[in-house]
Amino acid sequence: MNSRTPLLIALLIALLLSSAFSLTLYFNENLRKTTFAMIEEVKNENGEIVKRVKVEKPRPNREQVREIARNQEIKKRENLKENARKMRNIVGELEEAAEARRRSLESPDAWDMMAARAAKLKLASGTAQYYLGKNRFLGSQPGLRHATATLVNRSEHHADHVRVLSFMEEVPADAARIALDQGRQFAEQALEVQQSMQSCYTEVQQRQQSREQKKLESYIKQRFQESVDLNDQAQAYWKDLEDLVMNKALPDSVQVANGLPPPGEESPDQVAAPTPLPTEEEIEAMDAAELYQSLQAMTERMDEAFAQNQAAELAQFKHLPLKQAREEIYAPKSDTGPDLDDQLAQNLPETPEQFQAFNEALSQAVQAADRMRRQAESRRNQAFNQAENNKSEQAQAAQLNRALQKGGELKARMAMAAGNAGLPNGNVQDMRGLMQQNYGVSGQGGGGTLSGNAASGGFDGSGFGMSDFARNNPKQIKLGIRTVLAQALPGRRFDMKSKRKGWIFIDTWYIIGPWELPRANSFDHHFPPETLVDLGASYAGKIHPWKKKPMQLRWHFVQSESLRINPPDELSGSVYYAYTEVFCESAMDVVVAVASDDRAKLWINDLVVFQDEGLSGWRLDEGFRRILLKPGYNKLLVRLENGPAVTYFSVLMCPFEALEK
Amino acid sequence: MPREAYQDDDDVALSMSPLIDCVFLLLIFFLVTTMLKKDLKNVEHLNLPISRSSLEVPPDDSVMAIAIDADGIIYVNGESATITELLDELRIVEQEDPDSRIRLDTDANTPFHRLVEVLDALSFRNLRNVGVRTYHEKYD
Repeated sequence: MNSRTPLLIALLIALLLSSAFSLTLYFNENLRKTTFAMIEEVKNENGEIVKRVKVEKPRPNREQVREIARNQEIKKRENLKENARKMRNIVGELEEAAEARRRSLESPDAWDMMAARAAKLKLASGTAQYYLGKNRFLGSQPGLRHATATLVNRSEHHADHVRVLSFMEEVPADAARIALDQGRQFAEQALEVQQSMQSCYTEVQQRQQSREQKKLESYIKQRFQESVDLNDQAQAYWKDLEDLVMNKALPDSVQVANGLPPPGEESPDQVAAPTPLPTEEEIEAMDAAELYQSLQAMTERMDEAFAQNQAAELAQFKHLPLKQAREEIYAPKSDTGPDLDDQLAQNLPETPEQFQAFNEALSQAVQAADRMRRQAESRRNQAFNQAENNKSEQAQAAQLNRALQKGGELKARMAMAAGNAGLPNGNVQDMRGLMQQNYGVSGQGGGGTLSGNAASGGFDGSGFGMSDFARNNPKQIKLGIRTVLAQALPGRRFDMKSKRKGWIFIDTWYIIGPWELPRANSFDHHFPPETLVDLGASYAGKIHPWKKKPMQLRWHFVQSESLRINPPDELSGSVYYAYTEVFCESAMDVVVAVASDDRAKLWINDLVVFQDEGLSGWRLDEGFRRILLKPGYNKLLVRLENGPAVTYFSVLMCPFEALEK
Repeated sequence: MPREAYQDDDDVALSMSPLIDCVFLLLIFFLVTTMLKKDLKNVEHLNLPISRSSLEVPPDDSVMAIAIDADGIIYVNGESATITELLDELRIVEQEDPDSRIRLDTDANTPFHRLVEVLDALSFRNLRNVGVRTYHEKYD
């Protein structure tokens, strides 16, 4: 017997045993699930006694616990640092843009002042029309009604036109003359309204003096006085406009409050110089708790900068005082995550339990930081409506200013072309040129990839409100309404190779509402979705007619088989918003038809495309807009206003090519 | 003349130590290699609907898990999210890998309209590789 034989036997037995054990485990599932362990009885959260495997681990000592904690912190701190850096950049960009917008408000030129006055006259005309509709006697005077409706139309067109001029660096002479002509027509119309009102007033005065008549007389007297004031303002405005266009200067007496104090005085809104954002070295030196606190502070600052930005843009667009604009817009509050200061401060745990609490807090902090960064990115995209790659180009203040000004001008032009007031049914407005320029200026927001051809294209300042797509551009479309109703298909994705050609109705929406319909000039009142679409948010809405409490509004997912979309919680005198997205494989030339009962406004990629007027019924051919959809996802937001009774809307789209065929 | 190493050992016995060492080594090897990984994307409080026709799918870290609980709250990879965040996330997935696997976990009491809403979002983002997770006593 060899002296090594015992060893060999031992090895053989070991191999045999282990392979037998392995094979048994492999083939026998039940044995695989069996556990050899100590079983202990414990109480679970419901107070029931359950059996479970007793696990005994060696308890780590203080040094070991600290070592593990330190390693965990180092790992997670890197993530927090990365988020803090990104957040710092976003806050910086937003604050810079808000400051640039604020500065441009500080130095209004003559056209800015005229635009502000035109906007005020527009509001006054709208209010006059509202009071006319409130009184049966005045409402039954066809001459007065017609004169006021014309006044409102003219004031809107004129205010939109002057707003576009106010955004221009150099106002072209022909555009200024058009403005002057419109101003004259508006002033004449204001005089006509005053005269009509006067004749109504005289008629009422001559009637028998009953108690009711006296009441009516005093109401009409008030309205007459308002029309006199409006006429005086309109005449004075026209004179000043004439001076400006003819002599290129405004008389010294003309002053418009723009909400900003004269230079040298401190604005009440303006806070003291903001604390500087953390530098690279500071971020590098911070521990997890400090980084998390800094991220929370920056998120709050980002919210404020976003609100300032939106307010300044609104103030610039509507020529409002900054303070008023700030009150009008909705300031969204971002989620700043849970309060983890105490847990994160325990970064030198002594027991495993303390370490567990610290580690959990670290994980929560990382999750919250990711969420804060994502929110900030989406706010940044919303504010600039631009892709990340434009950042470096716009870093310089002058360039940023120019880009903001240009964006403002294009938006003003879009708003002017979108209006459907006074236009016949079936009218087509071509908005492709403006949309193309806008996509070019702002890069692109949202998703998808933008091909070069959609972003390029020169800008022609003289082609006022008109694009250079003059060829093959119908001014009117006649629609076989029954055929469309029968043939339109639901959908949200446009594909050039698709066999489905023709009208497609957008069938899937997220709808929120109702809010209280403002009394006059309703589109000038903004509700939260116009500032930010957050499908997870909830707001206080209209006072419920029976419960007498504000309704809690949330976005509802609505998918309709029919072309007309009914909002949930339908009430009269309300405002609703509907949001959806449309996908296009490539840039597309599309005709969009918006129809609504009663009023609607449509934004596509944050650009106003259609704005309805009056309490019209639902008609498929209320107005057509020829638009450009960019490749990828396009955002659609509809504002629906309901006067009395029922409300619904529809949005149909058809590629222009298919329409031609 | 050199002595043979085991010449004088008359009492030859089988030593158990190397045997036990081997067995322990093998045991440790199996324990280490068959360590189970916790599914971090799992939402704990979901009561998955029972199905007998479900198939076992090998675990995959790259799968995106969308869960909807009984209150209609949406979770993306185990974290609660709003529908806006889900839509943004799905847009990124569509851009990066439209064929990536998506797992939908729903509670037995999840409102059906919420499931339809999420399915519609997936379909609109052109994400077709979607599976629904159910409870099967053999696999879970």
